[in-house]
Amino acid sequence: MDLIDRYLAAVRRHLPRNLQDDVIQELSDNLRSEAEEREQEAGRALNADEQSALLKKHGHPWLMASRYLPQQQLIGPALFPYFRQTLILVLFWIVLPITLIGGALSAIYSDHPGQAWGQALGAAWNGAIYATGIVTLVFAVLERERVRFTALDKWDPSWLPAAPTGRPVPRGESVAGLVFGLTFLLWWLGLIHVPQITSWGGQPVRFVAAAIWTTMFYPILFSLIASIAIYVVDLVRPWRSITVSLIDLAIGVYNVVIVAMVLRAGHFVEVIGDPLHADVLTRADRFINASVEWTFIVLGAVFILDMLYEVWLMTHAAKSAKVISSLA
Amino acid sequence: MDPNLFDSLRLELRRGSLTLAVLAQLRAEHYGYTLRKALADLGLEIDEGTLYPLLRRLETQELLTSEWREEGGRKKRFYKLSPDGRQIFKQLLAEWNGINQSLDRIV
Repeated sequence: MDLIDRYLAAVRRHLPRNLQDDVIQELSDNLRSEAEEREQEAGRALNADEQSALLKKHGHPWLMASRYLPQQQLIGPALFPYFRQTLILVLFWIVLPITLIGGALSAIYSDHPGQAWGQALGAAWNGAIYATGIVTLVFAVLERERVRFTALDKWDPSWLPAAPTGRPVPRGESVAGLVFGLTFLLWWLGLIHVPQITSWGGQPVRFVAAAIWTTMFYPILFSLIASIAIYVVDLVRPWRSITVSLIDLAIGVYNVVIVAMVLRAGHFVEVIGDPLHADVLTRADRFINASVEWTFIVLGAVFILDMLYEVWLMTHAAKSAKVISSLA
Repeated sequence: MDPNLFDSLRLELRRGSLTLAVLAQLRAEHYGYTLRKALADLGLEIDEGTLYPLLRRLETQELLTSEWREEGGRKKRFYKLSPDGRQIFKQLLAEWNGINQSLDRIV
């Protein structure tokens, strides 16, 4: 019965050492008993195909051996909800914020902020993989030791927060807004720098902010801080009450006013260079200022569309609430 | 519909009842092969890959006792219910009967 011996040897290889002798001896007896019964029925020895069919019924040696392992699930149904919540907490409230803050600080003090952000994103990815592995390992050990958590058995429904009212805000939207807002704020405060254009049409030039930016520095700063505050509120409390929506609308109106004031200035960047190349300077001046102008026109349109969308979401949420309460 | 859905649900349905069937049959002493045959003769097919690890698990849970004995020129491991196993079996049987009665009323 060469095939049976080979099967038993293969199962043995995948068994823990302390189980090998015992399991293989028992399995051997069971296999041979079954083979003998079939031989008695057939009146002859089993051929290779029949032996093969007998062994295939028992399953692949690797699978057969795995069924003898004391732990059949890495993380069982009792622990899985705790595992899931722990993973969410670790990834989105520890790894991601630490990486983003670290990335921001690196970008501030680095000569190559883009590279620093790239490294921060790489670190976030690696951190997420390690954190997932460590949390999974911890819970796998807890499952093996049959640890069970009972703290949540003592919960009291009266501890639950009030039911959310208002429209839901996707967390991704808040996180994206926060990341962009913080990045722009750091740039506005001069804490991070973008590469400067130092030549135009083959001539050395310098671009200097026009006077309008000095006038608008604090109004824009206030707008950035207010927007970031709204994103933080949305992140912590991902459903917008009417109050928060109205504040957001007010910020939107304020932003549109800022855009209008900037556009009214008409001139945004001074181009400084060799006066002997006035034509180059003029072309650069027209191009840069037109670019800034169109950017702000688009920005103004985006602010207006965002406000209209917010109003639509508010009315939509109000209508849904009315329908739900009429059905109750 | 997922073609594997029925198999998956059937497996869940059988999982608990297999343990009860094995405990019931081990009120008398058996070794692995004769236990499987006895269950099959009574209409409950259980594949080898499931039965033998189940016996190990029940023994680890101290619901079964086992001993090696030589029979027919080979060493065989004979299983039977332990005192704890007998108690658990009675409790599980009562639970099973309760579930059956409820199901009869529901279906």
